[in-house]
Amino acid sequence: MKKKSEDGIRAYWRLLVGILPTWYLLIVLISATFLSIDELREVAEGVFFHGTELMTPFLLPKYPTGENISELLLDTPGFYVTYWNSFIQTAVIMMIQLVVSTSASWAFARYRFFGKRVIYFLYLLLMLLPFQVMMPAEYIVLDKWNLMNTVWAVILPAGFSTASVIIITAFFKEIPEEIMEAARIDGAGAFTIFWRIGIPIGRGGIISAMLLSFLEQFNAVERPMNFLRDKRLWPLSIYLPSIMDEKMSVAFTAALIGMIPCLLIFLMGQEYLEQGITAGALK
Amino acid sequence: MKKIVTRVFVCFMGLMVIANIVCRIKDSYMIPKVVVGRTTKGALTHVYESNGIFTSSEHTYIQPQCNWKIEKILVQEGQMLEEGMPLWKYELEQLQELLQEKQEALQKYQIQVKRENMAGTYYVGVSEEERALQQLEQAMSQVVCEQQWLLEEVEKYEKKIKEIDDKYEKKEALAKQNYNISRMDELTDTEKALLDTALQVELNELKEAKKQEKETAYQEIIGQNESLFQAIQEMDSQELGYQNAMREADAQKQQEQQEKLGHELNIEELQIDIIKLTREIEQLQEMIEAEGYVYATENGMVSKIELEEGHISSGTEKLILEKAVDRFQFELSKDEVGQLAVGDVCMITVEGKARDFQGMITCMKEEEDTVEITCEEAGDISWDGCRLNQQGLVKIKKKTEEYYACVPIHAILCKNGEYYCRVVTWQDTLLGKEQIVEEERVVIVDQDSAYAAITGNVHEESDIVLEYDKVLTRGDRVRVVREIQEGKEYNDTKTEYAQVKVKQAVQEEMITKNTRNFFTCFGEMENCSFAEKSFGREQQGSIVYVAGEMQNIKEWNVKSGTLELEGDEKSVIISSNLAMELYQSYDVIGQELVIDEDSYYVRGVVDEKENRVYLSAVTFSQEEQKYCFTKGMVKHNAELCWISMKQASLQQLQFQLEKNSYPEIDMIR
Repeated sequence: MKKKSEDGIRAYWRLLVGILPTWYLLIVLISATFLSIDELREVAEGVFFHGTELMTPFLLPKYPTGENISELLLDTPGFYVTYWNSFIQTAVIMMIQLVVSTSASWAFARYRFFGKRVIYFLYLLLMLLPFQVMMPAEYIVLDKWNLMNTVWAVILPAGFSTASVIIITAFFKEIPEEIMEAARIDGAGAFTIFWRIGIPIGRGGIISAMLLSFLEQFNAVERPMNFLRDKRLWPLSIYLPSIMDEKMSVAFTAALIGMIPCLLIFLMGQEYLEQGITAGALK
Repeated sequence: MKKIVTRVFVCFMGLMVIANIVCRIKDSYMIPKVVVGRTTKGALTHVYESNGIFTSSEHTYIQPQCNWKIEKILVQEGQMLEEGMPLWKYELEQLQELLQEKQEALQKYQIQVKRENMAGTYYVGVSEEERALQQLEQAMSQVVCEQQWLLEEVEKYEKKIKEIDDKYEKKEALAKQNYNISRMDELTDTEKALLDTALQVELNELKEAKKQEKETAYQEIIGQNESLFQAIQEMDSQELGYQNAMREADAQKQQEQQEKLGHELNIEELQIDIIKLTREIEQLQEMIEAEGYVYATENGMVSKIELEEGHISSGTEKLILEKAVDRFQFELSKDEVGQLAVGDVCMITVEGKARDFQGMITCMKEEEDTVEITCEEAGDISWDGCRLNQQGLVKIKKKTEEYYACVPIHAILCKNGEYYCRVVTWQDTLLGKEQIVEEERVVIVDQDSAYAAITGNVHEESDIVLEYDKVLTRGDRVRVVREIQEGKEYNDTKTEYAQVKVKQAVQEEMITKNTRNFFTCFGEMENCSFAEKSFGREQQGSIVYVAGEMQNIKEWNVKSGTLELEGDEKSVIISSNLAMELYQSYDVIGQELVIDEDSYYVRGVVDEKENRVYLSAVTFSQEEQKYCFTKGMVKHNAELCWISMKQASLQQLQFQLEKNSYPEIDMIR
């Protein structure tokens, strides 16, 4: 009993030390939201104001102010454009993924066809390749199809992402063959089995894949930065660096508010997300 | 838990939607609205304005008598005079004393003249030396006569000698002839020898006889005059003595003549003095009869009085009387003169006159910093109605050459001594294609009161911001509410601007007539604290309250913004030093400045090394504004107060001060 409590204390200590930098970053982000421009200049002159001194560590603002929030929410219409751009682009990507990934995953999980393993391997390979490697190919294709500097330059490549296929496939493979057989005996067709049995049972995997996809696409930087020149199409993720020069104090607030939907969605789908990550990891 | 998070998410998204709508509405309302236009071709009209006075080219100098004491001066500078009007009065008692002195002096001079006359008669007559000289002259003339006679005798002697020589030559020739005849008769040798000897003897005898005869003639003619030669020699020796005596006599004579001349001169001098004294006595008697008053001899205006009451005149002081008005003189600084030239027509406005007077520039004289300009009468309206020294406002309008790019002057922005035009450009932003204000640097080639001719980065297609409803800074998003196109509309607008300007000028004139803007009054309050909100910087300095126009105080070097303060109680103009201390920049137009917990907004930055803020002192009702320039100071408790005048005369200011009698004003610029 005594040994158990000692182990627990050690575990807490390790946890505290391990996540301390993360917590500190979060505290700085929240604190900076309430920093006045004077105080921000005081603590971070070397970083943001072309000064010579390094950033002074800080925890809480001396004189908290809400003017950054009011300025961002009431005086910065550009923020909303990027904010809704992010949501819209992410939603479309998720819808495409929902259709494409679910179908592909069902095929990989439940059908036997020639070259299945090779194609699946290619899917895995594509998932593993970083964006920097894929970018030239994507650029050539998008340019050929005249999709550069349109929202489709961001949506289409992300919509056909292979990561969610891998996750959902793992879930679909978990469905017992007996249920499928029973359905067939009852006269259910292929689409009915997929729609009435596959989707409900694999819902956890689909949701977790969508959540992961949302988090990834909402915070995507590389693709919009490279493929979108028109500022009207920019998502929030590349608006934040651009606002740094003009409105330094507002940038932290924008980052915090940009983080809130991700946090809430994460909390809403936390249960499924854990399942999805586990399933992906097991496979 | 999941439900709560979902609700929070929905609420958050709803909040974002509402905030978005509010933000866009606010943005739509707050975005600056501008009117843009393009550059236009055209000539500028320079309007030169200055105050001046009517003068006359003809002057009369009236001088008082030397050593007469002036009891009272009866005229003032600037006073119009008619013939016969008294100018000043001498002190009668002093004049009478002077008269007595002069009369006594006259008597003395007259006695002295008599004395000099008597001394001059002693030298009349001929001296002994002069007589000796006369004798010597007589003797000399006698000797000369004798010498002439002697010469005649010498001539006689020479003639006789010649006669003797001729006589003996003939005798010798006869003897030789006889001898030759004898030979021819064939004489013997002995006889011939005897004859030769006889001839020789005869010739010798003739020579001897000739010699004796010559000696006899000499003795007869020359020997008799030997005494005369001796007399002449004596006379020569005596002449030297006489000449010495003559020299002495001459010197004495000259001395006597000089002395005589001296007496004569003394007499002449005395006589001149007597004449002068007589004249002075006459003048004194006349002045005493006139009871000491001096009267003007012609019409005119007293332009200068150098005389002083109670002082004895030195005779050099004068009273200058100017005759009829025929010139109008005014000054412009060298920078202002610009393209003005002799021959330009000007209009002169005189208070109280229904019509303006026309004149023409006839002379421009450069002084150290200014140019003195003289106009003479031109046009139909005569200047007879104007008085000497009367003030007038001269206006000269002159058109320049045609410029390719002209913009309204209010479209030009001054920053750090450089000029910019705000130009609207289309730019891609997060909200799509938006109109953004950029500042393009321009160079002002020329300007008048409404327009400026420019060169620089602004081209024909540039949309220049002409009007705006909010303070603009570089990079601001704007909405163009009206675009003034080239051609008629622009010209109409130009006319509109011109009309506005004229209207403003008329209003200013009206205000001026109501004695409001005659003066710009300003007072300084020291040890005030200024704060800047964003960074919380604080500085100490002084506040200058200005009632009137900033431009009247001094010549400003505007770093940015404007100098317009009048009537806007929330606007301030700050010094460049304060701008740097508080904001680290001169580009601070629209920035908030806190003075004693009250917020003000910076409208201009002027080049000054002190920390100073200029505030409008006009914070009164329309009725009170009439006298605001003093009341403003009282309200703000400004410690010092100066007044700077642009158009008012000193009399008008004094009138105004008497009317209000505010003691704060202690200095007049």
